[in-house]
Amino acid sequence: MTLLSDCASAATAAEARYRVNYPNSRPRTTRIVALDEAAATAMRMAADSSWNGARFLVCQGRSRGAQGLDSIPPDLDLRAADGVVTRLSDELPGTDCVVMVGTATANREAASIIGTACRARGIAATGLLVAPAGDTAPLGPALAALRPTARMLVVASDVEYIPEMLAALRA
Amino acid sequence: MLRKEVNDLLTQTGTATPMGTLFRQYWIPALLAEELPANDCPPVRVKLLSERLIAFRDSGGKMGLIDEFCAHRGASLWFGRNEEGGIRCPYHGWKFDVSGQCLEIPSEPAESGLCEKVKLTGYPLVKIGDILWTYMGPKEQQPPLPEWEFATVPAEQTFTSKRWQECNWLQAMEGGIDSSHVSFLHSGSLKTDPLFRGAAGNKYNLQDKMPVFEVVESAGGLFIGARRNAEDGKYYWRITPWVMPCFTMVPPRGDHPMHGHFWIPIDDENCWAWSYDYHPVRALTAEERKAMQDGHGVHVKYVPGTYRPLANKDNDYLMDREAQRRGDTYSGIEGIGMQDASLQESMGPIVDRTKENLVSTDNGIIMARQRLRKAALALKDQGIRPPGIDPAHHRVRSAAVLLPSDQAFQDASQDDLRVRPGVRQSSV
Ligand code: FES
Ligand SMILES: [Fe+2]
Repeated sequence: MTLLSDCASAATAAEARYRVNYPNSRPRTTRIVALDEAAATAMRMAADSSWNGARFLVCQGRSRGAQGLDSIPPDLDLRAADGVVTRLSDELPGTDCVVMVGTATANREAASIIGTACRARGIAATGLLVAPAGDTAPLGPALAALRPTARMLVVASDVEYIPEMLAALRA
Repeated sequence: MLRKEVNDLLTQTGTATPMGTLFRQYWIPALLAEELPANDCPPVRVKLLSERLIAFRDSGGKMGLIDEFCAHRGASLWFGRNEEGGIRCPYHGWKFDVSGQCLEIPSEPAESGLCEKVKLTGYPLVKIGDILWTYMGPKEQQPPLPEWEFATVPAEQTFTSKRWQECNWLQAMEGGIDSSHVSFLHSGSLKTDPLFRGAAGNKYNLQDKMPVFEVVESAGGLFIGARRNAEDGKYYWRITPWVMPCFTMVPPRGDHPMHGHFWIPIDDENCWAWSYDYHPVRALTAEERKAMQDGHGVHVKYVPGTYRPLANKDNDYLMDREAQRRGDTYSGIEGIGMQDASLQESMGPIVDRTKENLVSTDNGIIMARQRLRKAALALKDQGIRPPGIDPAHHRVRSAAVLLPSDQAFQDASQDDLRVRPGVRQSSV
């Protein structure tokens, strides 16, 4: 005989009402990085909504070291929505989740630098490629750049998937 | 996380709801053919999309699905006499045909013509494979008949079962596209189930519990690829198609039959989990068919005389803590089908998605929800017909393949992912 308080009996609407109604997670820190200008445009539309601390950044290319040479270890310049440029290495500490957004022209070197840095810090990296229906530019190279380090790769035909996914992930 | 309004939109499928209207665009499984075995056999009560209906097969073999309740004073036609080309309500003798048309009102003079003015709602029932399919939408929009491969191969190559699942259709369906649970919940079954064990590909599953996922759109829905490392710089890919609104197919293992599901709303708190198993090019062996009938693989054992699983919420799904401790089963519940159903039912009849904490590997679910919501709204607001109606969208297969690491599965496996009549499934 199953008691009414046993979990299996939560499968009634009456019991389901007693599900504890306190928060079951603390806010996450999410960074969304656009890997090219087309992706930045798509991302900007999403950035206008209100988010739980998500930061929207546009990749500007390799950071320069002291002598104007490429930084070592590789780092990236990222432009925030307010125009301020920061570095990937400054954005990642404390970040739970990174979403890279790109199109067929995504900066592949940047994708690989971000993915590698995320992996080294144990941050889950997600790649989201937006390819509007009818767009024939091959995604293969962009996918290949993201594949080695992304825990999840998504190809979406609809730019609205960006806010959809971020909302689902509580970004 | 999903806002409450969107959760309501996706989970409610009664008449005049957006998702209900979407479901009414498709041919959906209504009954197993075995439920109407002969002309003039007993009628069967069927609840689908929150509508109470009765299925019957008349003296001439015609089948139909009509309003359960007599147009006169509302008695259930389940008590009816199925005889001489129609079902007769035993209360006052009104008689209806398979389309719901009233044929006779014994108390009225035949010349009055009243019976022509009386018609119960009726839907078609068509047998394809082991299933009687129905279409519950507007007559003028009735689409071509379904062409799912499992239902169109010769009878000796296919087997279908159904089980009652006591929760909303969406949380059941989401289990079918949630590939990341397989490494945990079903890990025991890969070694023991006669319909899975022994495939070369199983070793990749057991070696690598952290697959990496890729989700891409298809014409009818999605492909969800789960990738694991294999030898020689190759990847082992398991690719699951989802076709709107609720068809999924599990990636195959070796030469075992291929299987998958439909999740069809009974009402908002119950659904039918349909499970099919077929081989594209050969007859099922006697052992395979026996294993399916005995409830192995994706099938279940029943409470005798019903389609309710023998392990159900009233007996805690026959939880076996010792088996859980030993690792024979990961959750302590026996069988793939009930491992899924027990957890999905435990979420409550309609899970509160405002409380969930999805992670990036849940993107298959996130994208399926978006496609469903967009399709339901496009249908409601603009009359746009949704993906998954066109029989071309039905001709998909799942696949389990080894691919070079630089190739995208959606390009490299195009042929593996479509039905090729007479060609074996792509499976390692
Ligand atoms: S770990 Fe996924 S529902 Fe609990
Ligand atoms: Fe499962």
